[in-house]
Amino acid sequence: MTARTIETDVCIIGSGITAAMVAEKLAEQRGRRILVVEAGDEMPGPNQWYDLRRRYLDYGESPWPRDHLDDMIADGPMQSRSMCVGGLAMHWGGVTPRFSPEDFKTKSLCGVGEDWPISYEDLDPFYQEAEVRMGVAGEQGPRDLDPRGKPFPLPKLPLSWNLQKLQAWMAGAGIPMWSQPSAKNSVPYQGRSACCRNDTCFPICPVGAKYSPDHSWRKLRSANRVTLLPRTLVRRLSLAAGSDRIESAQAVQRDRPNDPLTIRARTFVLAAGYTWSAHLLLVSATSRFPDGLANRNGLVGKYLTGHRNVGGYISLPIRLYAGINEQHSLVSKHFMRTPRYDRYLRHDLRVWESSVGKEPRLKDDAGKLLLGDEIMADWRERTRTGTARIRAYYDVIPARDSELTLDPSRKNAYGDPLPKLSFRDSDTSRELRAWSEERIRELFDRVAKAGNGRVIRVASDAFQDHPGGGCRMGTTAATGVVDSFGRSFDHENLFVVGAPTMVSGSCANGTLTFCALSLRSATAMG
Amino acid sequence: MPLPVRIPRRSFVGWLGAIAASIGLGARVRAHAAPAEVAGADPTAGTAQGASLDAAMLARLAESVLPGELGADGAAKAARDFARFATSYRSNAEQLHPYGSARIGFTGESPVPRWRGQLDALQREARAKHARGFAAITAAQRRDLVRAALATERTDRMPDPMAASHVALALVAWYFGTPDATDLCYGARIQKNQCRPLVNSPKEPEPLARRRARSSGADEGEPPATDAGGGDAAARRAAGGAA
Repeated sequence: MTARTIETDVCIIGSGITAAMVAEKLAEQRGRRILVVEAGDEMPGPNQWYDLRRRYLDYGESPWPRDHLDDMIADGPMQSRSMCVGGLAMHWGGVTPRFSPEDFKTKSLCGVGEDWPISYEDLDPFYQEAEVRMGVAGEQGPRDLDPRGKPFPLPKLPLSWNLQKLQAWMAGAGIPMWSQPSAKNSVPYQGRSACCRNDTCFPICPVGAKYSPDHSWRKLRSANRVTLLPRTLVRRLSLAAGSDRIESAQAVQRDRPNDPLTIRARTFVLAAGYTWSAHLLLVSATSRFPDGLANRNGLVGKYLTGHRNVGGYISLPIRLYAGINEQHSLVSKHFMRTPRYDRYLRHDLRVWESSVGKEPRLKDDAGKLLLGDEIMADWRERTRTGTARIRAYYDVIPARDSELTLDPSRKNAYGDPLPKLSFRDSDTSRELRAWSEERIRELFDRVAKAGNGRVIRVASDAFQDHPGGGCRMGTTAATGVVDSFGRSFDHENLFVVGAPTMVSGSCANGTLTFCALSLRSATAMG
Repeated sequence: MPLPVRIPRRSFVGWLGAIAASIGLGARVRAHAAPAEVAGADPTAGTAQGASLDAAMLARLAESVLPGELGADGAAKAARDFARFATSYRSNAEQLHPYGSARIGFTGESPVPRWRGQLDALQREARAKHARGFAAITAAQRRDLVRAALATERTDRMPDPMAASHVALALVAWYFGTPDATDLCYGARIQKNQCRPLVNSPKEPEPLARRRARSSGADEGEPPATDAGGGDAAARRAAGGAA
């Protein structure tokens, strides 16, 4: 056994999208040594993407094989098993709405949940910065619904033929909708191609038009601005003697499991997502921090947050061509900004083209088996009209015991206890849930009727999407694990960035907000 | 009868393992992996089966169960492409893992050996009923044999081709899932899942008839429209500049 030590200025734990944002920003100041530590493997490079996509389309094979570790698994509703260079954002859909100003002050405006210690206005420049770094293509929505300090860096993704028809339908229902902002190049950008509608943004863009963190890593590594250690699991953070400063990270490299690695740094940045960030703090308990690091107030792992959705399909008497650009959508913040209901309910609204109900089928309505020309004739008849997919995310106010805890009965390969996830609504959200979902269903019925259509089906998803929390920010050490910059109240040289720091999950995809928060955190990493 | 409804992405991937198990595909699912990595195991390292399917039988089958407007040449091409698709399948390849679940799934055994047996059975049935081989009987007679073979098929939805219970069903499901089939249905050049210029997205897809009437194969700036490989080639070129 050979003990080894690496000295660096900044140690970033995790290599997903928030780590990439922080590393890019810090690397712009020369002279700072940045080490990125990733437990998972390197992922295939761009020259393999097209073949990987082909096998995904043909056989459902993962385009990112071995993007997880078999023994790093949480009990409970994990967003994803991804643990690899680039993280979950290797197969995200690239959808990048901002939260709305109300998300940051639900308590003072609506009397529910908690206000964040920062406002939308505080975050606006960092939203802009994240949009520039990733290359977000977007369209300015109505100013009262879609406030922003500067224009999008890239022109919007054009509305397809289908989306133009659907936009007109929704306008007729009194709901303004516009092109969903997306981290997909509408024009070539930063050496990456423009989108060419391959329509597999999730899980893989074969041409690199969608931003994914590996683009940043390739750029930073080739310029020797960062060192990235893959296949290296940080098992513990350790304190300096007689101090609350983090002195080192204790790691194990999977290729050298018998040679423990110590990483010493001036600043530690925990960028390991909502599960593994809180997990590392909890497993790093010491005699002075018996409940885990950064956890004097007992809030590490608490207030896990996210949003649920109600989704449906609406048959419309409109000729649509399924397949023009299925992953791009319309979006509206009509129900996120101005109160539209007599009780607390805020939700986004998105509309896509869809082939649901318009796909070829094997049997007709009478149950007769169809073959060849019969299938085609049946299919043609049913595609004279179109289908819209519609979905509303509504926000869920988390309970304190919406939490990540350690499960001592389940351990990883190194004997460390694994996490257990339990998402729980606050009393307010629990009381509102059925009512909220019913209002959204009524909305779907209303817009269907406005277009002389009908709802084919509608369903609510119990899973909380775009999860965050577990190391939430607060104004004081009594209310948060970290301050508004992600700095731990208990350890001055420890930052937690991105999703774990969120106070609440809003009702829109969270990744852009995770990135904006991370970039704001980076300004405090001296 | 319920409409064929596509399962939303997040639900789909979450249920993938359960569905695969229920339809007997043989896809394996590990709900909770052993608490240690399997040294050296690479689930994607499975090799393509390589087992061939009788090309002549497949061509006759394609003529029987695919749209007549493809013509004999189109059906023969579809049969060849399907055979290549089927024999390129790999067992034990890691499947896309789900959101909201810890399951990791792997592709199951190849159905090709079973399908080969089913082609043999169709041949035997043809001889038994018509005293001639499958290739020598009429298309209507072939379709009757296929209908008899699929008489117990319960679903009204197109199956995942590699999970199809019968080779005829697999061929049908595979073909009707292709971009070409969609274009034929709509009579328009949509070319779903192909690399297509973003600038054309707002336009109504061009009618197929006009497309075919042109001597040139492609609009300016568009990938070649000869077959699915045209879009693939364009995507490969674009990917070359992605790094």
